[in-house]
Amino acid sequence: MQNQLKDFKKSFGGAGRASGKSNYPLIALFLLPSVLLVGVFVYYPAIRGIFMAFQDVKSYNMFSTEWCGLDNFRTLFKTAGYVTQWKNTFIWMIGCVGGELILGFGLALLLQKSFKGKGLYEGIVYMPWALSGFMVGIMWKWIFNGSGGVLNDLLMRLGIISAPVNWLTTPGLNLNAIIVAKVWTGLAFFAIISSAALKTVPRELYESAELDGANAFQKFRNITLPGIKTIMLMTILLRAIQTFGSPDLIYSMTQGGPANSSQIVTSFIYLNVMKGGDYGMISAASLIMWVFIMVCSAIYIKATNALKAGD
Amino acid sequence: MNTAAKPISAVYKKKVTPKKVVGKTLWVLVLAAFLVFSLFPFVWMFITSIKDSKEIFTFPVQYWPSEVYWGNYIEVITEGNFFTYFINSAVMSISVAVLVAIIVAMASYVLSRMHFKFKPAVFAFFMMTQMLPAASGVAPVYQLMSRLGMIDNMLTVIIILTASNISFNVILLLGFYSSVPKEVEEAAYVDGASETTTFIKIVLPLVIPGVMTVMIMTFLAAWNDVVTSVLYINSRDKMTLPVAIYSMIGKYNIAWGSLSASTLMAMLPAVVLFAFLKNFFVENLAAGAVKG
Repeated sequence: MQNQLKDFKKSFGGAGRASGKSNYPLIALFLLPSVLLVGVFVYYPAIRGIFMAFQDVKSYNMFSTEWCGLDNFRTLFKTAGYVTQWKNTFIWMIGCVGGELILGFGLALLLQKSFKGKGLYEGIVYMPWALSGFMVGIMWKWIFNGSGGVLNDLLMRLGIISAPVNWLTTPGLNLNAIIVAKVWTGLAFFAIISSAALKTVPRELYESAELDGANAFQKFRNITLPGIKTIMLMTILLRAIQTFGSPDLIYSMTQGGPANSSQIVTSFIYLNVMKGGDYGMISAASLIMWVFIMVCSAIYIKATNALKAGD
Repeated sequence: MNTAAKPISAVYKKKVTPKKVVGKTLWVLVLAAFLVFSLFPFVWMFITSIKDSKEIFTFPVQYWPSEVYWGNYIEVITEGNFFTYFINSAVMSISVAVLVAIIVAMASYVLSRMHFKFKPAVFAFFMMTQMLPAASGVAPVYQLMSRLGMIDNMLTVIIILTASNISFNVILLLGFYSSVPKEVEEAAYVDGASETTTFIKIVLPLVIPGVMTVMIMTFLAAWNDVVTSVLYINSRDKMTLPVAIYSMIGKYNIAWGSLSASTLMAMLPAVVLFAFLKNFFVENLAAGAVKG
């Protein structure tokens, strides 16, 4: 984001010079499609959603604009599993980002050495990142299957469990199973960024540390970690916000069930719009989520600036 | 594993100590574990897809079919309308990618090269959307589309996905435009070329790598979309692949054989795209993080 601002300033700064033409009809024409589409399909719904959160809009009176105070919020808070949803959302964010970070960073460290066939190896282990979360969910849904699932079979052969486990229908287990699938797709994201971050650490620092007789752990703690801290922290925060908004694995693996035990805030919103229920209540849920994301983004931007300043 | 171990010993010609041997063995083992972890879901889905329905649910699990059975693929293609869904997905994703590329190329050009009063406001307009979660406006958009009578319409999905991919790519492409030196167009202006000509003939060819990046990333995002398509498409003949697959998993008895076959075939374009453009994706992602 910082970099994009810089790019913008660069182009903006030069605008006053001869090349910065001000052909207003052309400007209007070139900006019209993007501004119109973003305005109608991003801004209008976001603002309309704020109003709808306080209006009585149901699937049977979809175009109503009758105000109903805080009724939607009351209905929402009384919805079965609303607290679970938020609890799950936090477990989901921490579990996914934590797992992806640890495995992805670990992989990046292992891939510091070059070897024959490294390109092909990376091609395979990074592949899951390019796939649809929804499709990935189907693959894992089958692996975790309670009756014919291969995971149960493997664990039983290894003597870890004695009877098949219903991974996806047992509350408390199902969300963790979905997190495993999410980590499978997302670890490449952290591996790629960690590799790039590790490359930014100057090699001379390691060489001089070796001369001083530092061991691998000391080098890691005193050179690697401080060198990549900024990039990694920013990536973690960004990824947390991204993870919050991606319910597609939940769509394919459990659809939030059974009894909302694997529901997160975003999957609840999408699945309820699809069911065609209480749009006012859904907008109330969206509004709360929106405020939450805004707070997270504000923290993200503040932290980014603070980290930049600290460099 | 053995093939991976060889080049390492070639690279590290230092003294071989027991500690180093253990370290190297561990390194190879962990890398192998990552490889198995990454490949296993694909392999297992493939094995399932070549099993007869009777062998799919046997427990203990049968790790290889007693006879390789291609019936699931044949069924999906002949009875399951796979090609209809595939073509719908392709038409939808390519339309979104091309529309986004054209719209974004124009907007970024103006933001990068033109001088006008509301420029900071327009820039902020695109930047701010990055903080709006996509789920925040689902209900109002659905309401709007119902009012326009555009439910169960492929165009709706194309418009919504195009709109939601614009802002990010405007900002992305701005970076490519600002790396094109201004002198290039100044020369064209001196020769008396109009702004439109300069844009199409001089500047645009220089940002083609950026436009390609926008197209590929948008194509992948549209191909992988499930939430928007599932919400707006109901009839069989309009379904994209994810919607068709979504309707398969809603049933009580999931036909895992044909589901596996469809899922694998649906993932193929993304797999092929990634296989050919791995370095492109990796560099793009890495550049964004490190420069940012």
